[in-house]
Amino acid sequence: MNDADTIQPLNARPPYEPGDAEAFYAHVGSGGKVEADDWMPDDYRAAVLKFVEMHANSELMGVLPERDWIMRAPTLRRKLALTSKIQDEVGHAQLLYRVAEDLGKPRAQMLADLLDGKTKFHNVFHYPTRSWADVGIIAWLVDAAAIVSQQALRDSSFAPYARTMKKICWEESVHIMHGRDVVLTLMNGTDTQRAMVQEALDRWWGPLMQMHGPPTDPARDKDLHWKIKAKNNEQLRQEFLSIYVPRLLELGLRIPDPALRHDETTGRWEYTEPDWAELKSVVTGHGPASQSRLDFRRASFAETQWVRDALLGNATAAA
Amino acid sequence: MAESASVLDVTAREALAELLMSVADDEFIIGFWDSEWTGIAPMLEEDVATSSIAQDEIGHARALYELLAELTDDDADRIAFGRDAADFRHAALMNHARGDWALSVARRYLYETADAVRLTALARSSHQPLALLAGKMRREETYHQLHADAWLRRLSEGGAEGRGRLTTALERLWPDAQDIFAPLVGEEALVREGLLRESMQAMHAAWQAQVRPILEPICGELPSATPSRDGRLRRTDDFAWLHGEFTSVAGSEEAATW
Amino acid sequence: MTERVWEVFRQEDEGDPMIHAGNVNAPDEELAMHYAREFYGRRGESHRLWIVAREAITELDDPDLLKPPFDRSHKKPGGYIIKHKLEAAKQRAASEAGE
Repeated sequence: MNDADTIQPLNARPPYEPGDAEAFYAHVGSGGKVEADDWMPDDYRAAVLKFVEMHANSELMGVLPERDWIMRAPTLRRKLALTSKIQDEVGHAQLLYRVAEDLGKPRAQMLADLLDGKTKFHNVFHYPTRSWADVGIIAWLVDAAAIVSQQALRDSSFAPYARTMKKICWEESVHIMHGRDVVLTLMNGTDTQRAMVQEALDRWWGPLMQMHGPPTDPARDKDLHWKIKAKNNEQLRQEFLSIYVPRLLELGLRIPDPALRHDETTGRWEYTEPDWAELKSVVTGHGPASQSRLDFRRASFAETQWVRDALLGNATAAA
Repeated sequence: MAESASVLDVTAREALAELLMSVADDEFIIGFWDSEWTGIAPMLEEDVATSSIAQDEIGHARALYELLAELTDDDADRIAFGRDAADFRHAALMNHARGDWALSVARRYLYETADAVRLTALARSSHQPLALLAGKMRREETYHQLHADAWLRRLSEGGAEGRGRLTTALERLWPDAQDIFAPLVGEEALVREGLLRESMQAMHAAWQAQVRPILEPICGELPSATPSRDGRLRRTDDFAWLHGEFTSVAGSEEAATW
Repeated sequence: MTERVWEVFRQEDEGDPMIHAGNVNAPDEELAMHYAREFYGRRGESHRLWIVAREAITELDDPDLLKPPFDRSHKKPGGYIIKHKLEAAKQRAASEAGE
């Protein structure tokens, strides 16, 4: 009938020319995606790399608190579940180091920087574990706090990271179920077992509240602007509290923050301000287990260098 | 020929229980040692692979303990976590601590090849549940064998250090590896009833014939070696440590559920 | 380090398309296959995997080739909107029948 019925042709101009940072930021700011071999401004590349590298480091260091308990898991099923969970974390480290490597930093360099204390990993992995209850609390609550962040990353402007986050979130959901199952079993058990859970919660609550980081000024948060991440730190913490505080209270557990309450009028959780100085100190390597864990990693890495060398020898021979 | 264990006489039943426990304990303990690499293996990709293999072994152990539990009216977790160190029946090969990567690769190669011979025999067992389980295990073990072969080759061809460490490991483990085929209490009854289609001695000979041609080009001539009578009864400090670790939580609270 | 990158494609179920799943580092094809199985098949979640050395892949992402500017709507179902024409034809046919 009339020309309005025909489809208008797409104006197939690329979203930005290589070198045009302003157009690039407009592209990512409006939800556009970036692949590893696309042109990107150095600032953006550096910001994504820093974000992903810290995430990768955290997965790798996160293995250490839990791996002692593989040996001590008290049933066959728990041993399988825990080994499987930790295996997944190593897998996540691989996925994330791969993403970071495609941004230009070799894996060996990233591992070296981690071991030299030049790059960071999340606070929760700088604390020791003391009992089987820690295994449940970590798998449930630490993974839950992580998944709250990770779900918000599934729409990251950096597409390889976004895709990896989708796989990671799917795998983490199993870990949370395992963690909750461990905690529930203990809570339904003996007085000693229940006390073990409460004691573990008392120790982990502080680090958990610090985990998402201090509130940042949204106007100056580049990671938010460039849509590397989608939510700010406070939003993530509120989300975590909304879901998990009721789930803890319904088991009869006591949360060790007398100021914690939900304000019905603002819809916001009020809580004692976390110790941001502690967070800073911990992530810069002064946590109770920071150095012992890095030492352990360094030793393991050195101990297996000959294997990597032997493999390299093979590869050059084949070439 | 007996299909169900209820048809077996007491001697044969006890012998079957001994057999199941020996295979289960081998899988359980090697699974433990190899899971020690979780998080600290030489490369991230390899970490995940080794962990899968260790988990498979624990899974096999679980299935075997469950079979044993049915036979002896017990509970799989109780069998796994409730025994003293002296009551374990794994081969002496499993007494060695995890060691370096070469030791783990050597042990895995020696174990996988021996286990393959054993599983082939067990897959023909007159005890149906065991035959079925052995058949399933053999399918998973294909992947383990491929992986063990790949690493044996890589270390032996990967330069002087790799080859040296592998040789040292193979020489060290060779005597205790024989004990996978240590004579079992009640073995005559097992063979008589068709529960075990081949004697340990026959399987041992077949295994040696298979692995010598592969290993000797790497580490030189291996001494002649036979399984010892106490091959499944000897314990070491390393195993005592392991046992202490894996029973620490399970044994901490009487009659608790975990 | 002469580790290479291997891209992994997976098939969820029989008959499904091969979909890119991720990538692994490995020095050679044999280990790449083991690792692909670990990362994209250890949970029994894949029916089939393809493992391809990254350098074997040829990429095309030039918008001049893939999204050229001229109208190509005649090549797609969405290029044929018939709603108004159909309405008009029905009305005409109905009124003719009514005469």
